[in-house]
Amino acid sequence: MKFAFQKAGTLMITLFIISIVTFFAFQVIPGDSATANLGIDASPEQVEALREQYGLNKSLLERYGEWAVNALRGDFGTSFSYRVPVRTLIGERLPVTLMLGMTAILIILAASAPLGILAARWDGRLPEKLITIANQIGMAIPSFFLGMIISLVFGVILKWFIPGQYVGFSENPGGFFRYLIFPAAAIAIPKTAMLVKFLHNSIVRQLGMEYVRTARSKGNSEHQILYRHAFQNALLPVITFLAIIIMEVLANSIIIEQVFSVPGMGRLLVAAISNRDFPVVQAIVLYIAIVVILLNGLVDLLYHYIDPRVKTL
Amino acid sequence: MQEAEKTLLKVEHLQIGFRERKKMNVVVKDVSFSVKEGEILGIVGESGSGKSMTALSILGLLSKEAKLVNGNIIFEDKELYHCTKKEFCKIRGNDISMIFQEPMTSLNPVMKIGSQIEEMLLLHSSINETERKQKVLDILEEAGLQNSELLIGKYPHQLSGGMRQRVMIAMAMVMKPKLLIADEPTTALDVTVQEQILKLIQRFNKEYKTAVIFISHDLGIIKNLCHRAIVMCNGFIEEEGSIQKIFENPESEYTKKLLSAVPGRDRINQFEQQEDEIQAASITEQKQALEVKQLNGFYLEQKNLFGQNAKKKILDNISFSVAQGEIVGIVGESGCGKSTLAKAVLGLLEQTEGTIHTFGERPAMVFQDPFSSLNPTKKIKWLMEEPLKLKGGFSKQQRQQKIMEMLKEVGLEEEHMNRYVSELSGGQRQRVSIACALITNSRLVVLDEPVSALDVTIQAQILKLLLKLRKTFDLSYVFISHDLNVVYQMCDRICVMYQGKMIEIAERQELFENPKEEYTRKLLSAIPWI
Amino acid sequence: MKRKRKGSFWAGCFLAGLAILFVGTGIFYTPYDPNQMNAALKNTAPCWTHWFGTDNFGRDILSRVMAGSRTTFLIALCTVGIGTFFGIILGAITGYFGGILDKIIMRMNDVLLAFPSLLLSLVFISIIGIGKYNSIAALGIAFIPSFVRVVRSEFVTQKEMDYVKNARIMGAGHGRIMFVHILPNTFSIVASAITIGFNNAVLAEAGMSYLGLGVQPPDASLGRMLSESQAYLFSAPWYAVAPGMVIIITVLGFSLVNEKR
Repeated sequence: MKFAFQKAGTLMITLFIISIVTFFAFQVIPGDSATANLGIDASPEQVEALREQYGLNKSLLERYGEWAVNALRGDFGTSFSYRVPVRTLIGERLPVTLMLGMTAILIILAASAPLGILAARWDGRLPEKLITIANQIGMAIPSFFLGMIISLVFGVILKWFIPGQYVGFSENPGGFFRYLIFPAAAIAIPKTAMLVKFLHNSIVRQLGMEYVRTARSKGNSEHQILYRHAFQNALLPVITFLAIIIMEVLANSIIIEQVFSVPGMGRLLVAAISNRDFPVVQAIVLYIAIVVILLNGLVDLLYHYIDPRVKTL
Repeated sequence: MQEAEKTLLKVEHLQIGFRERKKMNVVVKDVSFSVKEGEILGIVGESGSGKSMTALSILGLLSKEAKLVNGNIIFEDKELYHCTKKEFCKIRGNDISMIFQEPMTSLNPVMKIGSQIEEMLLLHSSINETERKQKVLDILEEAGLQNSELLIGKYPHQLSGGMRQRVMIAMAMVMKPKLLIADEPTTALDVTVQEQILKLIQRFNKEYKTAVIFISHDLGIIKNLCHRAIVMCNGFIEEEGSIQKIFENPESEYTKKLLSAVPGRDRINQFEQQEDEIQAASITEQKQALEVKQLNGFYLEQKNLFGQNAKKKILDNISFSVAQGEIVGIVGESGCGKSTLAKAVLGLLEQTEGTIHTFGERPAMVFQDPFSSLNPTKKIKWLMEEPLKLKGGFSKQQRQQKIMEMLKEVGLEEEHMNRYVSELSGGQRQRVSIACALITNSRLVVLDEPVSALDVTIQAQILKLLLKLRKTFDLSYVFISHDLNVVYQMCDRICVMYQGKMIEIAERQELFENPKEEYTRKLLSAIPWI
Repeated sequence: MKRKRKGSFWAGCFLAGLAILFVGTGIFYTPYDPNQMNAALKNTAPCWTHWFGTDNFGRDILSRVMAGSRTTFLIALCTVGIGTFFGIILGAITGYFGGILDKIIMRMNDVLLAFPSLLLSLVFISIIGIGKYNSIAALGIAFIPSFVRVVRSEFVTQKEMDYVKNARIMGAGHGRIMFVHILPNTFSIVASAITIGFNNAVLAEAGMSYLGLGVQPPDASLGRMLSESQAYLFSAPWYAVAPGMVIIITVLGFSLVNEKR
């Protein structure tokens, strides 16, 4: 328990530092975001009014304080380009991205566990070779290209969905998932390849360890060796890798949302970057940072309770 | 051994190879032997002799790359390699069990000790949970582990090396097998722990009539433990016979060579041989080479990012000196601080109190593992030139000249100069290490277990070389070793270290015949002498 | 001991060689001017005069892919260069000396490393703005942490080796030990990190230009071509095939070459 508190403490500090970095990074940008927003032919009065409105005329520290306090309450100010509170923008899009990401992660987990084990059991034989070849190709395809292939095959040719369209959850839950499954697959397939490869290597490495030899000398069957001994040890490094995979899913969803026109956080971020809509960018970066940090804290915590060697060190 | 005893295991014409580029690289060529019920059979040989492969093949534990080419292994009346997988699994652990060299890696790191032993019972018996637990506790007690109740909830990394090996033995013995195969089970352990483990194996052998195949490179252990022995070399059996025959009337040339290379054999004889060498050295005895006074050494343990550093005392009030031309041995078990002392003498230890005074040139060092002490990305020539470059003041020709001279001194050829370390054998590497140490005219050399990683015949050559070089260059050695036999053969004076303290310093003969400290006596009695 | 190379290694060499040859040719020669439009040739299917067809402006796709992959390779190389350079310096110093500085740098490094590189470069891009050189800078900075990690862990292992202690005993200085003694021992691992890094940089760059946040027109780029081709996925599928295949062949080739087992 003490460890958990300690960990929480470091997480808070990291988060604080990231919030500072996120805030100040967007302050050093050449040109005032207010003027940038109004265009060059705005009158000085107009600029001044806008600066007032966004609080740009206060000192940096004051602004950070205000921003941080508001951010804690979930208030990230008003978007420059949409002219609505950032909170509303994110509130609409976050669930979409979350659902997309979770579907992708479920696909990844469901597909890679059996494939990884299969490859390890048949290491050096035909099934493993086929899986390995598929893995190599899967990892080399950019997810957005895969997304395009999927929308060509399933959307344009098979007409299972209409490319460029999107069905909201509230309109039609069934249609929502039917539309979500294709972008989720485009995200999941390259990552599944990565995870299968990692799992396969991890199990094979464990099977070559001396304790496996001991287990064999005790009279365990190959099946028992794999599931009772090697698998548990092989899963430990996979936990860390899974955190990386989840982050990669998040990153790829930014692109895939673009391919399939899914109105999620990714599209919002891309639009905000193009429009130099900094309150939105700041908020999304902070959100992502929180996810990253929580995820990594969770992994550390998990290790602490799963791996006996970490606990007593 | 009585002839009437029944044969338990028979190995016939065993041949094992590695598949390499479509060719079979045969490592075990033709090995046949048998084990009788209740006997301890020793298999001895140097690295690459095929002894471990032979042992592993009995239980079908060869790695994926290795392949049994030919031969039969018959246990009782079953041919093991013709059994079904299921039958073989029934024999493994139940009738034949095995213990390995490295108990840390041989135990499952994420499984509790109790469950690992219990697994044997799960696999080979149908008793219920309480009976199983009782059996686990009993066998742990029998293996000499106290607090077994507490122990079963622990993980391997929480135990000491000796305890882990006891756990391994307990696990191997819980089904009371008819045959125990022990593959170098004490090589990774300290000599006093080794003695206990050997006694434990001996006890199980007597009590349960469990036959043992004991694989070792250490002739001393084989002599003291086994009833019968096999000497292996290059995949063949060189000699087979009773212990008495092999050690007193060896027939094969190889066995004779092996026996003569064992350090410390025939103590008196060795001592007389060395007498003149010691005298040669004592001429310059007045001159000091190294003086260490009241030395304390510490390691810093960093707790966290901004936390206080804790100082851990490793060396505790150490004082000793080395005269010019003298060889001072430092012995002790792992963790006694002998390697830290070497670091301190060479100025690598940052936290020290007290004085270390070296006279003359900067001291040099030869490390235990010639694989890691020579930079693998450089050629031998570069390695030997580097100390001269760092010292400075030599022209290119002079450096070249010196390298040539030194290569000759350590018994290497000129052609070795353009090779990489990986292209040399273990003995050659150690010669390069010595050459690098001596090339800048260092007169004091710290040797940290210089021959521990080498086979016994190579070991003898390197020791001889070290004695020769001492005479030629009037060198002083600080000779650190865990092997009392080697220290006995090499050193003029011996210091015994225990838990960071230097508990006894004496002339060699004095220390071996008349040890003053209890710990020294324990250490000496634990050595398996030949 | 020399190991036999697996067939996959040679397949990788072949594919990587093909990609390099393709890009190398593109530097000196393209069949047509990649930006030359021709309304008469809009969306022509692959034929003898236009091997990969033409796009919606009648530009030769082969020429554009050549020019685009040139840009992508250049950016990826610069990215890896920046990452390797700073990675070696920071990794060597933190790994060799350790201490508080190491802990602070590594804590920051770990936080940065937890973000996928594409995301990190997007954040940088949003700060410094869109453009070719900004892409290089953003990707370069985003790739430093992974190189620091690799080099540092190598230095941590290597500095405990006896040959390093021996060098210190012989009187070698820290700089010499770090860069003359240890560094060559890290080459094989750094080389593998560079290959993986190059692949990731190619994918990240393509992703960024696909989003319109990377290379800007009129410069051709693989990602942008893919994004433009999406509207003609049905009517002119060849438009997407060529740039996609170049990325796949490149990444597949380099990752096969790098394969250990």
